[in-house]
Amino acid sequence: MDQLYREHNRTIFKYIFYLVQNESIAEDLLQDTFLKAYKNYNHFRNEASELTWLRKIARNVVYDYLRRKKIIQFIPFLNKHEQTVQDDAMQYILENEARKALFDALSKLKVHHREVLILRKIEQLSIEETAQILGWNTDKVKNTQRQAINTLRKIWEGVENVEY
Amino acid sequence: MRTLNTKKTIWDDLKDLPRNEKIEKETWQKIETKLSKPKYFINVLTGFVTIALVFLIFALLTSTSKEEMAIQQASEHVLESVYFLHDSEFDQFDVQPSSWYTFIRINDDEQILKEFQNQLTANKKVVAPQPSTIYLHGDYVDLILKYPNDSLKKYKVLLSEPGYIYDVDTKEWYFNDHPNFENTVYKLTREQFTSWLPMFVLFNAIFTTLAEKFLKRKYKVKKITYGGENTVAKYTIYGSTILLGFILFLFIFKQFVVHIFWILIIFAILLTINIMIESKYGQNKAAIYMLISSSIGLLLFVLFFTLNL
Repeated sequence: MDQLYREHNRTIFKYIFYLVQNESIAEDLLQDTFLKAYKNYNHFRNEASELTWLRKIARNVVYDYLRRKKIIQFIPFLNKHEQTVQDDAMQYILENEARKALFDALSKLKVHHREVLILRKIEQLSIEETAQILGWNTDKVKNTQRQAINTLRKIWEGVENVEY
Repeated sequence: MRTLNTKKTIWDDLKDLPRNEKIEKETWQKIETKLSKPKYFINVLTGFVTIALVFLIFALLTSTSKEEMAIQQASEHVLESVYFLHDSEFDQFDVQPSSWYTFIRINDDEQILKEFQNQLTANKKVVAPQPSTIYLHGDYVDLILKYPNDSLKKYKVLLSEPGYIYDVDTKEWYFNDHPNFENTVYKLTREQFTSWLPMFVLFNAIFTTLAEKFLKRKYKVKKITYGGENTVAKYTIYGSTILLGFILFLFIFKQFVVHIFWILIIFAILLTINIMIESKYGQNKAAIYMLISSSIGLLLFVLFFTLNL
């Protein structure tokens, strides 16, 4: 395995998995992310770390996928293709009640709320690092995080069922 | 707040998401394979686009603007060539002044053209053949006479009632009583298929068989299958191949006159779709190369069969 993939594939997989919440799709999108990364490695400037750069690519890939999903979800190819990977990650989520509850609650959040929480809470990145990946300013990160936490709290306590 | 206070540990828990090592390696292998894949798809696409553009230029150069040339000057010049199309009906005139159209044949034999032009002087204006069923349901050969300054003259020759000619431009009927007229029309519009056709069919069959054997051996497969394990992909490829066959069958038997550019476009689109599906869902490159070689074989057959090559 190449160093770039070996060092970062697990972190990027985690980021994508929590965003799309399907292991098989996450695996495909991880593949696309690294393909793009390798093809464009000569454009990588050391202004940010490799991981930040990879997270940005992964984010674009996921957003492309979500856009595409809206358009072509009726095509049977994709659905069939999506069910072929052993769901180890999903099994890990399901084997613990609290984990499952948080995962389900995350799935009910809007994507930009979810990704802020993934980066800030799961990946435990700083506000500055999160802002850099999302291309936002730090105030927007703070505000969005606050809104996301509030919504999550309501979902968690069963007060509000936010439509995803 | 009771539950949220415990969320810190749950967040940590989510951070420890396991990764299936086998899948991790498989994904890397897929990335590696895709990175080492030559960009044959882009090359094929570029090739077809280039061919399409070249033929588009041909299409534009041979467009109908030439047909608008002064018809009245036509008879003043020596006939240069005759484009013709058989099996035509009275209300139909599909012949084009270009052999880049399917089924359009050209005759440029100087001797026959000279003979035909001389005999045209014997044309006498008449009323339409009576009863009207003679010409309404008659069998025609359509002609476009091309003169050196690109001026054109359009005729329909009624084969089922020899001697009658219909001038498409002026919408007038003529009768030619020259004793050799019927024979000259026969010589002028005799369809000659290229002598290369049988040789090509044989060569194509041998080439396809050898290509299949070679690909099977190279990629170590017993049978070349399309679409990998994805049923929808497989049937899409078969479906588009059948569709292509059906389109070709239809336009050969209905004798559709189309510019070769459109045939190439149809081939390019369907082949591109097939290659895209095969490269995404296929298991090896054998099927892709087989698709390309058999499609090119079929395309060449169509070109040989329909064009005046």
